[in-house]
Amino acid sequence: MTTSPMENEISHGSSDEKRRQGIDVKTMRMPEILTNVLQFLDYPTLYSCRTVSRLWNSCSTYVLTQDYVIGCQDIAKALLHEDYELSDKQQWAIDHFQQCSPKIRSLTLGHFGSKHKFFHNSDKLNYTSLRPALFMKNLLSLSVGPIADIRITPESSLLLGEAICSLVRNSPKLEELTYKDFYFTDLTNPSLEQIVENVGPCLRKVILEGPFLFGNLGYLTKLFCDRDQRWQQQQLQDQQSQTPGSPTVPTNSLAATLVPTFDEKGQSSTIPELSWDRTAVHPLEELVIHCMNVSGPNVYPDIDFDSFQAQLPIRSLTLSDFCVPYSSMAGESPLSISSLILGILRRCPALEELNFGTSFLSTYDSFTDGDFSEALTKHVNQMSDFYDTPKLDDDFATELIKACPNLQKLDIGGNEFLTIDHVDELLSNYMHQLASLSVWGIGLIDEESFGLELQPDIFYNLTELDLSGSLEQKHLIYLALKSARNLKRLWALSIPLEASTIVGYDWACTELESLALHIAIPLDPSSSESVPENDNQDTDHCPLVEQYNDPYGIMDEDIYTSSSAEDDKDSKPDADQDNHMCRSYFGPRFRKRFQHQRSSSNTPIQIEVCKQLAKLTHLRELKLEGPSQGGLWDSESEVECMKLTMETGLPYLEPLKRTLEKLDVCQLEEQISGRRETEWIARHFYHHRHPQLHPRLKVFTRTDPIQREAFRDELVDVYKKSPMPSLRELRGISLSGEHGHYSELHMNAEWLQTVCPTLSIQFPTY
Amino acid sequence: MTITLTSLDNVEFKVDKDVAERSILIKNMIDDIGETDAPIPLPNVSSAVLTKVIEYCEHHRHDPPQVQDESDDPRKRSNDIEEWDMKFMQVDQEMLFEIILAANYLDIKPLLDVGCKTVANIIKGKTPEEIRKVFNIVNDFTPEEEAQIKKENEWAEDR
Repeated sequence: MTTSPMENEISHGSSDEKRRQGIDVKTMRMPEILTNVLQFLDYPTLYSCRTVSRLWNSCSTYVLTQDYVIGCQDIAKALLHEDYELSDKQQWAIDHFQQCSPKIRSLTLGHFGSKHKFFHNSDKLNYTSLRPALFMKNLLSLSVGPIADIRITPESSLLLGEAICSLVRNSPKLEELTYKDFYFTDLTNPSLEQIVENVGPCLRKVILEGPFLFGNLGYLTKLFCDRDQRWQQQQLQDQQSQTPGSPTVPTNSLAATLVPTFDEKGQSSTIPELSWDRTAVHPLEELVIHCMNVSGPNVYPDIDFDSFQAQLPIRSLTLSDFCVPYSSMAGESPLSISSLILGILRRCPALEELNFGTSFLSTYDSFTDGDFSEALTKHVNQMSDFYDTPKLDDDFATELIKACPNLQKLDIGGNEFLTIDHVDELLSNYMHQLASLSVWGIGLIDEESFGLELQPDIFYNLTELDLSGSLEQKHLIYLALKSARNLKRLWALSIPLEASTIVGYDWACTELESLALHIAIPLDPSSSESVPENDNQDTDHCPLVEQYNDPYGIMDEDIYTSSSAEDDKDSKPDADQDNHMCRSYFGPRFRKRFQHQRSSSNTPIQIEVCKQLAKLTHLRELKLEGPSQGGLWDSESEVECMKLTMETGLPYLEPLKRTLEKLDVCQLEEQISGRRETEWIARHFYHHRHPQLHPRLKVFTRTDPIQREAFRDELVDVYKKSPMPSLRELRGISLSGEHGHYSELHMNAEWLQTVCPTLSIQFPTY
Repeated sequence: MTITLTSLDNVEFKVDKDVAERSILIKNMIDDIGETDAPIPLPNVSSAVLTKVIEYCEHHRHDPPQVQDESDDPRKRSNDIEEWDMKFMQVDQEMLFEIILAANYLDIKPLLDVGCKTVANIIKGKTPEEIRKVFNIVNDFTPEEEAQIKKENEWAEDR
C-alpha cells in the first residue's frame, strides 16, 4: 500500500520515532482537538471514524449529529401510519434522534436529495419521536418542508403543525429558520403565525418559501414586525424587573460552551446547560421570501401596510419569483404592486442587500435547458401563460432609492416588473456604491438595453457582476475585465465574446474566483479582429503537448478505427483516426468542422485564450459556454466554440489546478472528453488523495491491469511532488456522439470516473 | 508597541502588539495586566514552534478577527486551505501536531483550524484500520460492539 510521506513518518518512523508517536497519540486523544479535526471530514469518513475507538466514536458521533436530516417521506409516512410496527432499524432511528436531539445544531425536516426522493424510501421515522417536548437546546438552524402527499389528512397536518411549533418553541438558540410550505396540505396548519410566535429571541435569518402573492407582503412584514416588537418589549420588561447586580449570561458565550467534553474512554459526554438568555435578543438580519408558483386560492390574508407602523431592522431582503395570476388582477390596479413592494422597503431603512430577481438562474441547467438566453426566453414564455407581469410605477425606482439609500448589493436578474428606465435610474444612482450587481436577462425579453455611464472607476467597488443574457452590455464586460480590480465573480453567459478581444492585454480582475463566459472562436482567424502576436505558438510546437505522451496505454487502442493509408501522414495518430471516422460517416460540412477539431488555423487563438484564463489563479469555478446546438451546426456560422483539447490549450490551464473546484463546459464540442484530455485531467487536475483505495480500478475490465497500476503509481508520485489540485466537479463533457464517437466518449468518461471516484462528473444524456 | 514573549526554552521573541494579539490568550493577558515591558511567559510552547506561530501571525496580522459563530456553524464548514497556509503547513508530523497544540493553547482559532484541516486531509478516505495505524490507536471495542456500530452506520447512511 502506498502512503504519503507524512504517513510514512508515522508508520515507519525515524530515529526519534517513539517521541514523535507519543506526541501524535496524545494530541489525537484530546477530545477538543479530535473533534475539531473531525469537523472537517466528509460523512463517509466520519462513519469510518465511529469504529476506530470509543473516543473516536463519541467525537465523530457528536460531529455527525450536529447536522441532522430527517427525510420528508419519513415524517409524512409516519403521520399516515402511526401504528405500524417498527423494525430494528426504525426503532434505532427514533432512539438515535431522541438521544441526539440535545446535541443537534442543524435539523432538516423534509429534504430533497438523491436518497430522499418522495416516498421511495422504505424507512419510516415514527412521528412520535418528534412529539415529545424535546428540548433542543443547541439547535441553531431548523429547516422544515416541503412535504408532499396528497393523502395527508387535516388531522395529521395538525399533528405535524404541533410538532413543528413544539420544536421551534423548545429551541431557544434558533438563529436560522427555513419554512417551505407543504404542498397539498392544509396550508394553515401549522400557520406561519404560529411558528413565528413560538420562535426564540436569537433569530437572525428567515427563509420562507410558499404560495405567496404580492398581496401577502403586508401580512409577512407585519408578522416579523410584531415579533420584533414583542421581543423588544419582553427584553425591556426583563431589564426593568432585574435586580441590580444579578448575573447575566454574556451573549457571546454560546458558541464557546457548545464544545462537548468527553472522558478518556469517550464514554460520556456532557453538553453544558444553556439558559434562555433574553439579554441575547437579536434583531432579524435577513429575510428571504421566495414565492412558489401558485394556481390555487390565496391562503394568507392581505394586510394593508397602513394598519401598522413598525419597522424591520433587516439588512438583507429577498423578494423573488413573485407571481401575479391573471385572475387575481381582475379589478385591481397594477399600481398596487408598486405600493406593496415599496411598502415593505420603506419599513427596512437599514437595507444593504436587495434581491428582487427571480430564481431562474439557480435552477438553470445547461444540459437540459440548453443555451442560457434560449432557456430564459422559454421560461418567461411559459410563465406568461399563467402569470401577468405588469410594469411597476414610473417613479418606482426613485422611491426605492429614497427608501433604501444604503444598498450595496442589488440583484434584479430576470425581473420583468422593472422597465429599462427603472434599471437605468437604479444603476445611475447606486452604481458607485454597489459591491454586487446582478442584472442578468434584463432587456433580453423586451429587446431593450439599459444604459450605464461609462467611467473608469464605475466598477471600483464591485466584487460581483452578472450580465448574462444582456447582449447589449458586451462593452461592460470588457470594461470589467480591464478595470474591475476587486471583481471576484463575473458571469456573462450568452454574450459571445470574440476570442481576439479578450486576449493580448492583462485583465485587471486577477482575483476572480468565479467566471462564466461565452467565448466565440472565429473559424477563419484572418477575418477576425487582430490577434495579439505574443507567443503565437502552433500546436505542433507546443512544448506542453510535446512533453505529453501516453506511456501507460490506459485506454484500449482498438476502440479507434484504424487510420487509412491515405490519411495525412504528418498528422498525429489521433487526428488520423478522427479524420478517417469523419470521412466514413459524415458529409462535407461535418468534415470541415471535424478537421478543425484537434488542430486548425484558429488553434493559436484558442491557446491564447487558455493562457489568459490560466492567469486567474484564484479561480474556483470556470464555466465556458459555446453556441447552442442550433448555432453550433449552423452552416452560416463564422464562429465555433472553445475546444479544450491538448492541442488547443488545455495544458495551459494547469496553473488553475490549485484552486479550480468546478469546470463546467456547456454546449462545447466533445473534445474535452477525448482520451488524452480525460487522462490529462486525471493526471493534472484531480487530486488523488488515496489512489490506493480505489477498488473500482480493479474491476474496470477494458483496461490492462498492469498498465493501470503503473498509471496509478505515477499519479501517487505526481501528487507527492506537486501542490494538491482541488477539482471536485466536472460538468458538461458532451457524450452526444455528434461525430459517431459515442462509445469512445462514454468510455473515456467512465474511465475518468473510475480513476477519479470522488470527482463529480455530470454529462448530458441524449 | 512591541511585546516580548518567552518560550519554554527561555528564548525571547519581540513582536508587534497587533501580531501578538492574534492570540486571544495573549490579548486577554495584555488586557488584564495592561501594557508592560515585562516578557510574557509561554511555558507550553517551544522556541521552534513559537517561531512558526509568529510567522503565521505576522502573515495574517491584517486579517479580520474570526467570527466565532460562523466557524462553529456545521453548515459553514469549509475544507479550503489557502495557498500560503498550505505551504506553511508543509512541516513534519511532529511540528504539525505541536503547532496544533500551540494554537489551541494560545487560542488562535484560524491556525488551529488550518492544522486540523491538514490532519483531516490525512484521515480522509481511510478505513478504520488505516486510521488506527496512522495514529497508533488501539481498537478498544469488543467484536460485538464493533459489529453493532457497523450496522448502525449502514442504517444511518441509508437514512
